[in-house]
Amino acid sequence: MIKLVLNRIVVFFLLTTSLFGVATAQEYEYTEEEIYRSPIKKILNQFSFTITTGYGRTNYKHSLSGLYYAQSQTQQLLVNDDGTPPGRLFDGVSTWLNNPILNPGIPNVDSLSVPFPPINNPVLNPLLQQQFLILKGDSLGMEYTGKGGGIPLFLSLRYNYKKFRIGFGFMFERQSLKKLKSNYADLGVRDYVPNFKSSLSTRYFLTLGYRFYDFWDYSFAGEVQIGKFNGGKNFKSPLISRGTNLNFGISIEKNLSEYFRVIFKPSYDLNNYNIEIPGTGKSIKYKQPTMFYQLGISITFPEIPRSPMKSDHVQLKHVITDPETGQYKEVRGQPIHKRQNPKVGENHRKLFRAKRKNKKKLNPY
Amino acid sequence: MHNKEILFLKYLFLSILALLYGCGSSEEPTVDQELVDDKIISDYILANNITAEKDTSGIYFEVIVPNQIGKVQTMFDNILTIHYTAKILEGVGIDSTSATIGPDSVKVKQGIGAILPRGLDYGLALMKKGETFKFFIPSHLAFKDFSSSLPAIPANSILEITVELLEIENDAEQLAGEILQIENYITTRALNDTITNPLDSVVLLPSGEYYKRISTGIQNDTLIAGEPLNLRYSGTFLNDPLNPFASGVLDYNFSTGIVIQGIDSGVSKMERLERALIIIPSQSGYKESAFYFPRSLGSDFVNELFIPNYATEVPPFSVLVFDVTLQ
Repeated sequence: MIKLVLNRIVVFFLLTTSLFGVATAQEYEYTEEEIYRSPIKKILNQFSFTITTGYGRTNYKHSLSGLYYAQSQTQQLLVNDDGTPPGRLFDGVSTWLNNPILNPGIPNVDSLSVPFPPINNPVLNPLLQQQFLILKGDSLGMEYTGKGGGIPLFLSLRYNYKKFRIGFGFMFERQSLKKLKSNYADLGVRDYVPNFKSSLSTRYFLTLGYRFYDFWDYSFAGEVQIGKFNGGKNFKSPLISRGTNLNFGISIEKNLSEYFRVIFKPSYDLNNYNIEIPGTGKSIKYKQPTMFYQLGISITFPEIPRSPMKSDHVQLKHVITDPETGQYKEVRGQPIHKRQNPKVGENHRKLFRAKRKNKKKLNPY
Repeated sequence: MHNKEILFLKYLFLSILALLYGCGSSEEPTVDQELVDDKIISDYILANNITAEKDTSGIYFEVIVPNQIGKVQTMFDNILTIHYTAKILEGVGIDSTSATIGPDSVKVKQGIGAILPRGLDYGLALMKKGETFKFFIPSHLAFKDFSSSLPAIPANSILEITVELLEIENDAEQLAGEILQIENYITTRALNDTITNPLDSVVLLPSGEYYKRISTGIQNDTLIAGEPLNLRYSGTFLNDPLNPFASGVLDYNFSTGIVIQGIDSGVSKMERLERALIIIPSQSGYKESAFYFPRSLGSDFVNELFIPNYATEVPPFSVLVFDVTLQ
């Protein structure tokens, strides 16, 4: 083995002396300092831009504690519970989900009692609904629940430092909510149907995360988003107050290259708001947590550009002389969604001949 | 792609599906209660050697005491005086009435949806005067899935009701009987004696009500149709004048169908600030109302939307006496 190595050294010496006359070490025509690397790109390389979409499933819930629920054939109202049931005239609040309106002086008359007239076929008659069905929210623990769906769009920009990530972002979501169901539907309490079919909500947030696990090409990062939620034009009432919005998620990332990754991210969004019920001095807390399932991409800004020469098909990162500026510049051989400096066959999982575009060619090469 | 990666993605996909679709609630399967009740009744009849037939309405009936020559019901002769005992099939008794015609007799009007349970309404149509039938009524024609602890009525109860049809009358005969009661009431209380009972004597109105002015109002200040008014009222029954069954103050527009016909008729004679007594036969009041049993479950039946609220206040064919003040 040692004899073999020594033989090779002798051959090399002979070659160099025969070619150059003098034995010299291999020299490059430029030094590391002469290679131009954009400082801006170097800074931007620390940042990643993420865009995801998907589906959000929202659970709505609110309680009618401290209130009476009054239902007629055409109205659903909330009435203040001050210890006495609503009398012959009462003030009722309608559309209490998003835009509470006080309706004063609602008459509460049972039109199927004395001295009002009798009806034909009185037994099991559909008209037997009393003018107002009135239920005490506290006694029955009345509440409304419902489910809604939405299509979100998340945009975020983050700074990466080692495994930590910090950034900010925006979310747009088109949410639809058909109805809320009472837990006393068996007593005849009707569903609450909102006065809107869908709403476009937005959220801006700060994000903090940590990449806690890497597995082959996959990375797992935990992220927390803290921000402010806006329910859109259907939730503009000044009686609405919102707190801080929190979102907890796990970002599962498939790293296709140093710069490009596909993301699947389940996350749980904690979202509540309060509405003051006019004329009662009370408010209702509305819970609408959302489970998001996001799919998208995340791109890190490359620190070096792609080779400007179209004829340059070198797969590795390499240094070229910029034809415009004459500077030495390091460029990429691969697009951002492919690995730079790939090993043999790494970026081409399929044989060249096996690709769909080449299958029917006699000579695809 | 590595095999481990493929497995991982498969598990991820399945868990997503489970999360998305695994939390829905499943609905309970529905049971055809009618078929169940029918089998129970037919098995009971067979086991007890009962000669019973099934009516097209779904009830079963057994003729206990026939009366081939008894008076037959018609479309107009359908005010029935009955005696009944009711129980849960193979269970406890829940109600019964007097066996003879009298002040406490039960009067109902058959065939116009004014009897609860509905099965009894269908069964009464089969009877002639003097006959006694036993009806087996399935739950969907009785109280459906309503249940009560007192009396003990389980959900989906089948009723066994024995009924004797004591009398068949029509509207004219009913009214004639009420007029006799009213005139007896007027005589007994000396309402025509303007000294002991001021102010005016009793007047029979063209629409059939009896009107007596008690105190004067503003002269000639009577009402026209549609005019708003405020009415203080207190209602009693002819046979129980000391206990009002309804009282209050009502704001409404005169002669717009807001109140029973009898009150509007009486108020048409009144001047503002006048007080009067209006005696209203059932035809101008609550007529056949709605009959139901047991009487103690009236509020529950109202909440279940079986009967209107006035049925719990006014029994069928009740003559009403209203003391009203036009304010």
